[in-house]
Amino acid sequence: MRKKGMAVLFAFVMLLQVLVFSPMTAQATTIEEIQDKGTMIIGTSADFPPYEFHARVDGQDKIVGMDIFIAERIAEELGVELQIEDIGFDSLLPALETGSVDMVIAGMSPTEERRQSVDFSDVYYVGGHNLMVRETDAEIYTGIDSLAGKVVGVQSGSLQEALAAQIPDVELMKLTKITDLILALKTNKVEAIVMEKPNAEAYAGNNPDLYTFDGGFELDESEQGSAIAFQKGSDELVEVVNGVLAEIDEQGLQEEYLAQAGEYLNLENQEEGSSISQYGPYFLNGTMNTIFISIVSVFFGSVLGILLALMRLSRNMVFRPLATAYVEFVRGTPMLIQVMFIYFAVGYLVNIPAMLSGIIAVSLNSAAYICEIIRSGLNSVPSGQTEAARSLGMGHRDTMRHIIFPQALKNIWPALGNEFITVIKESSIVSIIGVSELIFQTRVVTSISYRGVLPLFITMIIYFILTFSLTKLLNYYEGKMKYD
Amino acid sequence: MIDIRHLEKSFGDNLVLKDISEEVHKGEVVVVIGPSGSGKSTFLRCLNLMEVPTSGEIEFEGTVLTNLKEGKLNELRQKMGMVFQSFNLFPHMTVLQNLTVAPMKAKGISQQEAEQTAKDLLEKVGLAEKANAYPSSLSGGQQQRVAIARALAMNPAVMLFDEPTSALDPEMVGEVLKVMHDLAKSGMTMVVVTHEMGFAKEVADRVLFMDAGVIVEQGTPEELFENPQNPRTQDFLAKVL
Repeated sequence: MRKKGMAVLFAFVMLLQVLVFSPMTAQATTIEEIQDKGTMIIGTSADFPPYEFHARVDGQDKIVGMDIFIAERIAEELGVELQIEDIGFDSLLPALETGSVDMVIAGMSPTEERRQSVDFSDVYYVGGHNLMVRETDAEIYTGIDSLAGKVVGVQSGSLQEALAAQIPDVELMKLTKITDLILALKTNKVEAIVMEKPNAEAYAGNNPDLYTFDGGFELDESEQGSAIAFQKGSDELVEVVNGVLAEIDEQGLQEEYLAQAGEYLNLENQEEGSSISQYGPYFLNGTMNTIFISIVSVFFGSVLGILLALMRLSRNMVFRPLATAYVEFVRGTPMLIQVMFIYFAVGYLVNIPAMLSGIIAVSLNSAAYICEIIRSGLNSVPSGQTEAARSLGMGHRDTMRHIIFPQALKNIWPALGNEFITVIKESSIVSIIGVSELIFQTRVVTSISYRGVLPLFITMIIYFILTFSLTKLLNYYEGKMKYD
Repeated sequence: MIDIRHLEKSFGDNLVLKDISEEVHKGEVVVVIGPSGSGKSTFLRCLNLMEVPTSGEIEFEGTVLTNLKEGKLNELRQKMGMVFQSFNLFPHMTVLQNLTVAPMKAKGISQQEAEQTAKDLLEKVGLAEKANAYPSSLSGGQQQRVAIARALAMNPAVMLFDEPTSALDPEMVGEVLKVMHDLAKSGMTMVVVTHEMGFAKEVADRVLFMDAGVIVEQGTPEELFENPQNPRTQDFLAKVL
C-alpha cells in the first residue's frame, strides 16, 4: 500500500514538473502573425451594451456595439477578418495572456493593476460610472452615501468592483455577467449596481423598472475611460491601433457608433412585446450544442475510461500508478478549473477553438469517473468466473471479452447512464469559455430580451426533458439486458 | 501423467503445502481426503496452476508447467478440465453456450461442431433438454453436471474435481457422483478432492490423506480405510466414518 502511494506521488510530481517548468506566458502576437493567419481574434464579454452585446440581425445572432465597430475598423486597417470570442469578463485577461485572443476590447479601463500584466492602447471613450437602482427606489437611493451598509452588485474583475468600495460599509455581490446583476437587482437580491454609464443607460432605456444616475465616484484620471488591452510587449500593434483610434477620435465616430448601437438595442426593444417563442432558435441551438458536447464527451470519455480502467487493473508498475494518479487528480479538482485550464493553458501551446477545448475538458473529466465505473463493474464479477474461464484454457483477452465484460456491463450500464446525465448537466460549465451551449444561449436570450426568469425556467424544462428521456431510454435497455 | 516435484505453496507467511512430491498415472482415479485447512484444495489448484506454486515443479505429459509462457500454459490447461465447488457457470450464457464458448474461442472449433459435441455431452449427463436454459433456472445438482460437461467439452486428458458436491443439498449429491462414477469407469484420469468417503471407497484407485500441508498416508481404499497406519489418519477417519 505504501509502495503504491509512493508511485502515485511520483507520477503526480512528474506532472507538476512538466507544468511548472514550461513557460506559461505566450510570446506577444505580432502584426505579421495576425496577417499571416488572416484573422484578428478579439476577446470580449458581450453583455455590455452599448459597448458589445448580442442582437438579432435578420434573424441571425450577432455581436454588435461600439467596441465591435472599432474592432472592425482595426481589422480593416490590418487587412484581415475579424473573429469575436465571447468570454466571461474576468477570464478575458487570462485568455489574452495565453494567446487565445489577440486583443481584448470590452469597455475595459486601463487601471494600474491591469497595466502590470498587459499593455493598453490610448483611451478611446470616457463614459463615467453610474448607479443603477429599481425605479421604485429612485427617491430612496440618490447617491453613494444613501447606499451605506446595503448590498450592491458589481461585475467581478471590473473597475466598478474597486469603485464600489467608496460606498460606506458596502456589502458587494460579485457576478460575472451583467445580465445576472440586472436580474439580481430586479429580484431584490441587491439594492443597486455600479455600472459603466453608457452601459447603465442602455439597460435603463430598455427597462422601465430601472433607473440610473451618475454615481459621483471619485476616480483617478488615469483610470478613467475604456482602452484596448494587448499582451505585454506588443508595441508595434499598439501603435497601429492607436493610429486607428486617433482617426476615430478626429472624426468623432464614437457618437456615431453609439447611435448605431442604440438602434440595434431599440430594434430588440420594439420586438420585446411579442412572445418568448421568437428566441426558439437560441434555445434550439444551445440544446443541440449541449447534446453534441455530451455525446462526444461521453464517447471519448468511455474510450479513455476503458483504457484507464484496464491500466488500473493491470500489474504494470508504470501504467497502474499513472492511471491511478490521473483518476485521483481529476476527481480531486473542480471541473470549472479543468475547463479553464484546458482552454487557457493548452490553448497556449496550440490554438484550439473554445468548443474543442470544452469537449476535451469534459471528456478528460468524464474519463476519470467512467474509469472508476468500469473498474468497479469488472471487480463486481466474482473471481470464480475468471477461474472457470482460465481453467478451460481461455486466454486473458478471451476471458475478459466473452466472460467478464458482458457480465460487468450489467453493473456498468446504469452507472454509465447516470454519468451521461451528469455530463449533460455539468457540461454547462463550458459556457465560461464562451461555448454556445444551452446555458450560454440562455444568458444571451436573457440579455437580448431583458427578461430574467422566463428563459431560466425554459432552460430548466429543456434539461429535464433531456435527462428524463435519457433515463427512460436507459431503463429500457437495462431491462433488455436481464438474463435471470 | 502428472508429476509433482517438491511442491511448496505459501500465502504470505503461511506455508500451506510443504515439499510434496507425487505422481498421477494415466487412467488412475486419485481421491484426496483430509480435514479442512489441510491444503488439499490448494494442492489440486496447483496442478493446473490456478495457484502458482511458491517453489517446486509440476510436469504434465512431459512438459514442465511452472515457468511456462501464458499462451503455452493455456494450451495445456485445455487438457486439464476442472470442476469447482461453486460450479462457476457463466450466468449470462445458456447451458449450450457455456459448453461451446471455450472450444470455439480457445480451440477455434466451428460452432456447428462445438454444438454437436455439447449436445452429446449434455445427453451423457442427462440434461439434454436444458440446452437453452440459463444457469439460474437450474438446481445445484444440475448446474454441477453442466459444469462437468463444460469441462469435458474441451476433451481433456485429466479431470480435476475441487469438492464438487460440498455446495449441494444432500438429495442432489447422488446425481453428481453418478456422473463422476460413469466418467471414472470410462477410463478418465481423475484427481478428486472430496469429503464423500463412499465415493472414495468405491471409485478410487488410490486415496491420499493430507493434513497440515503434507500427504500423511496413502494407499488403496482398502488399505487406507480398513487399516490406517498413521494416528492422524486414524483420528480423521474415526470422525468422518
